[in-house]
Amino acid sequence: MSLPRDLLEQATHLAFREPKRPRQASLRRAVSAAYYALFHLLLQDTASDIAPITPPGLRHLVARALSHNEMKNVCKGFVGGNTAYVKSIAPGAKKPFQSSEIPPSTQRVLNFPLENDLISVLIAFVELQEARHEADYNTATALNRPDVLLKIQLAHNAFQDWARIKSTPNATVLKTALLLQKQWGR
Amino acid sequence: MATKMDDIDPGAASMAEAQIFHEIARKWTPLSEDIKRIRFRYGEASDGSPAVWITIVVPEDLKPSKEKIKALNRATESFRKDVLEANTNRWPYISVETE
Repeated sequence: MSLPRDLLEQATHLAFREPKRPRQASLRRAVSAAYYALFHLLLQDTASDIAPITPPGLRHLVARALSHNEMKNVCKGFVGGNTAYVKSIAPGAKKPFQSSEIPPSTQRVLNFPLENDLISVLIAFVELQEARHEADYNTATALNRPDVLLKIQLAHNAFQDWARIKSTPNATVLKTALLLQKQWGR
Repeated sequence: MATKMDDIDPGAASMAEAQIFHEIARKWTPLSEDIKRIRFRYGEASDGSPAVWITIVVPEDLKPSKEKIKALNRATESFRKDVLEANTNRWPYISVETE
């Protein structure tokens, strides 16, 4: 199996590692694994799209260039921009489509409305990244198994949605934007 | 099982925002049998952006079934959609708490 799928499987394994009372360490690492599963899935497909397979190691360098924060910003922006678009075409809408959340350069190459499967992946990425942050750094609140399983389910669904959507033009824009959108605004 | 919607913590939200969340909360009432109550908390996410944390309180279950997780997943999707479509710049982060 690939690293993303292995991480997703590991997340489930950790969530059930202790059959009765789960340890906080297991639950926290499970959330982290679920996030990194989706992170590496997007990383892998972005690098494959952007860099050829040779010379060896080039894709790895592309993948290393992606940043967690920037990826989250892009995902949130796409969701916000899509929501603005959907509102602008609703019956009775008075304002034309306008979104400050996606740079005009990115808007021009996207086809709105974005696909539901793509939106699900974007939402899952944002949600899981924040959950990982909480799981790793906020020990004031105890995690519980149903919540962790919900996060893992979110990652599972994102994997399925991504498989359906990853070759579409909008997904291709997303993958490129994850790496380069910050530069497009210059 | 009695279910109820918790009062919405005004926190750092403006009156207009509090009204938006009040409306959303009203739309979700009555809650399903598996949900005891829902809490809202406003603040900033780890990246400093405005956020709302929505906590769904459910009965303690050490080994929830797949069906239960799927049902919770459907509920969270619906809550998230409503908040994302509302006129607020807060990103909804949803979690489950047991008691």
